[in-house]
Order: sequence, then structure tokens, then C-alpha cells
Amino acid sequence: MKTKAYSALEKGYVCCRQCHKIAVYQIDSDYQECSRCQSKIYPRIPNSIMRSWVLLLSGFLLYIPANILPIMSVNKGGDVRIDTIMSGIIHLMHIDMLPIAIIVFVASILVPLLKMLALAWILMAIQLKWRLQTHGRAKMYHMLEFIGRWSMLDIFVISILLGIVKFHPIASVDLMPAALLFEIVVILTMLAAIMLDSRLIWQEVIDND
Amino acid sequence: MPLPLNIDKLMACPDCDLLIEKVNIADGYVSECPRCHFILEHPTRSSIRNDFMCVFMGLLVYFPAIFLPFMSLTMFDETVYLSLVSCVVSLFETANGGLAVVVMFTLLCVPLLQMVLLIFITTRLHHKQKSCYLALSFKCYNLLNTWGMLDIFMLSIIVAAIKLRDDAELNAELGLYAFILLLLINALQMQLLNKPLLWRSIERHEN
Repeated sequence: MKTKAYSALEKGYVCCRQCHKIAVYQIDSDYQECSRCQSKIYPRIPNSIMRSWVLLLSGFLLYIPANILPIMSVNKGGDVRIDTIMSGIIHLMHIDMLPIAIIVFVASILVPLLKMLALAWILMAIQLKWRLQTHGRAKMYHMLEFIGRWSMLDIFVISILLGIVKFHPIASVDLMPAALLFEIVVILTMLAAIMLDSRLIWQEVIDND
Repeated sequence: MPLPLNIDKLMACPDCDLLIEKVNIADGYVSECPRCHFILEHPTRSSIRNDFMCVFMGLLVYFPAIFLPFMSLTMFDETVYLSLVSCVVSLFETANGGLAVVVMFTLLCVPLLQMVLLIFITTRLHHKQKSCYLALSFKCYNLLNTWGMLDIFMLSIIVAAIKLRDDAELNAELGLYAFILLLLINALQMQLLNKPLLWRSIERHEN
């Protein structure tokens, strides 16, 4: 026997985003209060798609200067090296540290880029009401929620280097503007993923029985 | 024929909003959403007590992990010790406040706050004391969940160590072991935490 699947909202229920308690949807008000955790319950996060787009686009705009501008300069006894993210990775490859170069490349260039593309894809799919591959998109959403944090790797590496070299009389490390920009990109894209209401991905799915 | 729906027997998948019937699951089993396979509940035996243990141990190793140096570096007969706190301090001192705040928040504040909140919740629940802050604390705990980045810092210690290994002599210090311990305890605590159970207990204790 095949039964039709309903979303809670179709049947007149809403689920609290915070504690997942279900309540009867009151149509006449914009939001209601959860009886268990006192959060505001909206049927869907208001303006979720718009906010997500804004955060994503501003993240993307900052991603460009974050990659072009230098991220740090290392001064080893008068020998100054100024690195962008990419030139740092290439330098790592030249000094035979390929595995580390790959890790840094994946974490600081590939992950943010793929994450922004994937999020844009999901947002477009919601807005254009594509019905194919919803499972794939839902999986992708969870993946990008999980991997987004790993882009902070480079920021932490830089802060360790800075912390250790600061005490040294001959060598010195200075941070350049791209470090801050890059960190803002990571935070913005993380917020964009959080802002997107995952239930919207499933909004348009209708089971044809 | 439409079935009569009783709200007490219903739940919605928080991830895809599918309306489902509540099920009781035994310890060690997992319930997941039939449509999007989101894990609804993963009960483990006496999870609240075990979680308290985890957080307690976590708090014990937290301060050694952040204050003790995790790495020492010898270059030209000079040895420098580096701890998590000294990293943040040197970021502040070199006028990189923006970076320092984020590093401090994700590595120092979030793990500590989460542990303090969880220890408050679990002890209150264990002693069956009422408190109006239980729901609020658990909400904050869940909000902070995405922003803890201890695991990423572990990888960045490894990357930084490999980057520096040609220029200087590196040694692992006691703080590193404390940090690894904190990381493992933190992961275990998140794995043991049964959020639906905790929410149900909070609901019972609040009123």
C-alpha cells in the first residue's frame, strides 16, 4: 500500500526550529511561541532565501580580493616573502610538501568556492522549483554545512606562525589584509548556509502515487 | 479515509518537515526520517549521566589545554613556547583584533561556554531542580554548536609544524596532549548527547 507523504505545514502543523516540538499552526498570526522553549516559531524562516542570497553574494564579492591580495609576509633575516593564498600553496609545492599543499588548497580555495557554488545551485533550485534530485541537493546542503568550517584552517595556521615567530629576533611574520577578508568570507558563507531553511529544499516535492 | 490525527503522536522531521508518527526506539538504535534520512534520535544508555561525566572531564583538561604550551620551537639556541592563549594574545598585540576575536571565540569561548551550559543543564536535570533557564541554556548550546572549531585547530597545528620543521627544531609539549584529550572528550560528548531526550526532560522539569 502506498501512502501519500505530507509536510507538517500542509496538514496545519508547525515544527519549532530550536527544539523540534510540533504545534498547531495558527494561520492568523505571523509567528507563534513554542510552548517548550519559548522561541518564535515561523512556518518557514522569513526571507530565508533572500537573506541567504545576500550573505552568499557578499561572501563571493569578498572572496575575490581575499585571493588576490597578499595574506602574509614573512621576513627571514632581511629576506622578505609576500604571499597570497595561492602563491603560498605553490611555494609549499616547490619545497616538496605536496600533501600539505593539497590540504591547504582544498581547505582554503576549493572548499569555499565549491561551497558558494553549491549554495547558489540549491537556492536557484528552490526559486525555480526544480523537482529533480532533491535528495542530492539535501545531501549537498548537509555536506556544505559540515565542510564550511574547515576553511578556517589557513587562519589558524597563520595565527600559530604569528604567535611563534613574534618572539624571534631575526624572523618576523606580518599579516596582510587578505587574512581578515578571508575570515569574513568564511563567516559569511557559514551564515548563508545557516540562514537557508532546509525545509524549503523539500517544499516542491510532490509524491506522484 | 483520513485518519484522525492526534498531535501527541505526531512529529515533524526538523530537516524536511515531513509529518511522521512518533516512535519509541530502544537504546542503541537510530531513528531516521523516511524521506531525507535525517537522524531523528540516537539514544544511548544513560546518556545524560554519561554526558555529565564527559563535560566534567572536559572542564578538567580545558585549562591545561589552553594555557600550557602545546609546541616549543628552538631556533638559534633560543626556545619559544606557544600556547593557545599566547596565540590569541599575540594576534591582539599585532593589531589584528578582527582575527583575534574570531580565533578567541571559536577556540576558547565556544567550548567553555558549551561545557558550562551543559553541566548546568545535566546537574539540574539530575537533581530534578526546576529552573526557568534550562530551555534558554540548551538553545544557546545548540546555537554555539556550529562555531566550535577545536578539530580544525588540531589540523592547523600539524600544518604549521610541517611548515616550520625545516627552519627550527620543534617539540610537542604537555599542552598538546591536554588539547588532544579535550578534542576527543568534546567529540564524545557531542556523540552521546541525545537532544530529543534532553528536550523532553527539560519540558517535564519546567512545569
